[in-house]
Amino acid sequence: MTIDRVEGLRSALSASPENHVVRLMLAEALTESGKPEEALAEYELLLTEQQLDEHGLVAGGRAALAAGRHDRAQTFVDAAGSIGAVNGISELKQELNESLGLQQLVRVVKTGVDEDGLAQQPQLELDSKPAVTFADVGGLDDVKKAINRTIILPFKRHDLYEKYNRSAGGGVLLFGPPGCGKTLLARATAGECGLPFSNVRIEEILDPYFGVSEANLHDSFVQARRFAPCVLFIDELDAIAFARRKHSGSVGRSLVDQLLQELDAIGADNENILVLAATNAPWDVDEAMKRPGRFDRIVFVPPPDPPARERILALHLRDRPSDNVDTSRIAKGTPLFSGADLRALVERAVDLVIDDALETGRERPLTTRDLDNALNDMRPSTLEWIATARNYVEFANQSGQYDEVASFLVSREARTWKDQT
Amino acid sequence: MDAAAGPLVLARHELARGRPDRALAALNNVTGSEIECEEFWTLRASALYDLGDAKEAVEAAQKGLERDPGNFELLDMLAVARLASGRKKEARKTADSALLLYPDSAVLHAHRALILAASAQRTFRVTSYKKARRAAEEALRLDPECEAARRAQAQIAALAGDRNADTYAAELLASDPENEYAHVISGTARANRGDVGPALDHFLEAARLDPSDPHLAWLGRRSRVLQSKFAAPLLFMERVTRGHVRLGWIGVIVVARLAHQTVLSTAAFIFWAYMWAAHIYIERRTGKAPK
Repeated sequence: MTIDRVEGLRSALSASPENHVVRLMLAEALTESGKPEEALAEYELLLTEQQLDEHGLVAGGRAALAAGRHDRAQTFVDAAGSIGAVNGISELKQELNESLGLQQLVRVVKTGVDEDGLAQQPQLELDSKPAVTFADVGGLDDVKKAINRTIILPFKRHDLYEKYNRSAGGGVLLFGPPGCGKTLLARATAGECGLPFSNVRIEEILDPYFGVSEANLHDSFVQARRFAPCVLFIDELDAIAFARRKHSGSVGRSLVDQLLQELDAIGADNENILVLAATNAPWDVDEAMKRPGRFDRIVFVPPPDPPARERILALHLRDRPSDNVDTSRIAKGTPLFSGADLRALVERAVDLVIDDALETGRERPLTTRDLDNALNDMRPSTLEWIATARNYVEFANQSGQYDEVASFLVSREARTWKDQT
Repeated sequence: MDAAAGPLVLARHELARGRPDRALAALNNVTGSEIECEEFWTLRASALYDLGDAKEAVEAAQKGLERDPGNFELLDMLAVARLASGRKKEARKTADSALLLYPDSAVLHAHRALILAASAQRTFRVTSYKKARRAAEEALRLDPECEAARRAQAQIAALAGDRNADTYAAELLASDPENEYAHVISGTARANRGDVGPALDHFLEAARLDPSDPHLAWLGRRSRVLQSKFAAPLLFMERVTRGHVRLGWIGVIVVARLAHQTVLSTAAFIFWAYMWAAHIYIERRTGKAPK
């Protein structure tokens, strides 16, 4: 019956291609008959001709969602927003957010410039990486507790915080040595909140054309506001929000000013955007960024502790032939090793096994001894960071912002390599 | 969906914000025709120089000059990198050649002044900073506001122990109170005058302003240890002898021996033992100076 109707409407439309009512009916019939891609094509034609009312825009958005075209769905939401449509739009937006938030990563792709030198519209890139949660992050229990208290709880118990007039949004800065899971923690935070995750990197922001870098940064926030509630993650914050006093040129300073403007806008207008940032060099981040309302909550992410290292080692050994490797002992013998260091350790051990196999012709599994041998002469890559952090704690901790680092530096783990930091 | 920021743009940004390590990492991603452009080599030389790898910086600058022989930035970088790698004569020749091309560059004159100052320092010979001073004055004549020139003038005056070194350093600090190098120059000038207490304060302030610089951190750590009570007699001797503690101590020993003064000899011995103890204590607390 529906198929007959579709064919009938197609015939009518071929006779009168300008009949928008028939095209709308065809789009609805195609949706009903389970052909969302074809329906979307018809809705898009109508959208181009500006022949869709708010019901049509919602229907078009739903067809786009059914076809798996989240970017097109966003276009319909935007068009509905531009005509001030209300009915059904919030539901559609919710459907879109849910569709993105649980299983997908929203990646804002920075604008470029076209042939005329004009900035192009920002685009979305969807990455089908599965959502991660705290369960996927080994160890770091104290950090998780801090994030839960400062970020997740205000989001999950929004009502409670609202009652006490405490806003749920705001910025949180994660800092620590490289390769220690800051980005993973940020992803896991988004996963715990069930929110879409938008990642902003300096490479995507920076542009040689005057003013385009600032526009790109602004666009990434605009996109995040569209997807609110969501997590906007700024990786390597120090590269964007560097201390202006240290910058030798004046051009880059406007980028810092732009970010300050965007963060201030978040505090005022968009409480449902949770801004997370990560940096290896918190001392290079402009002090203005750390003021209340911006990145006023600063969380130190130390190198993985022994249980975390054990788990990371187990993860890297999972798909390799191994023979009862004592990961607990190796974890205890690798203080200050980052996740990346532990991966390198396993790979070195595997190389030793392969060399052995080539020499003897016998393919044996990886053992604890191989890891012990690989560990010889290996130094954690975090030492340089710790040496610098030690200097900052000693000379530039008047405000107490590095107290957590100071506590870590006197721990037994940190003192293991003290002579070399 | 190409990235807007090419590696060169990223490297330039990282270098401008004082992260030569990241600039170098970005430059390692440069491929194709961009390797042939002089900007790649200028950025690479600057990043290597800032990271303290002067020899590699010299090589990078030379490769850049092969592509663009008259490039101002590369010539300037080659001169200072040669100086940093200990090749003073070559550094001076490079600076002189560069000045033939850019005679009105205050920055080049300032860097030449520093090269001349470094060349003047020789063992067993009286050091004369006349030429270096003149070069710095020329740089300032060309551009009185040139920061490099003002810094060179203050640095040379501090090295030479000039009376006006403190004034120059104070001028530098007045224009930028958060300039860590101005604090180092000021501290050096004060220390050379035997004014050790304020000198240590300047070194500590320099370390506070940029603890990421291992040299400044070491200097700050040493200053802090020297400010402790244990080192107070040592500082007193520094002040009395105007930076010539060892000479003062030798003088005491010689006099005590000649006069057969047991008390003086004992005092000299105690002070000698104290100096060794203080030396070991300071070394243990501050560690070795970074290379």
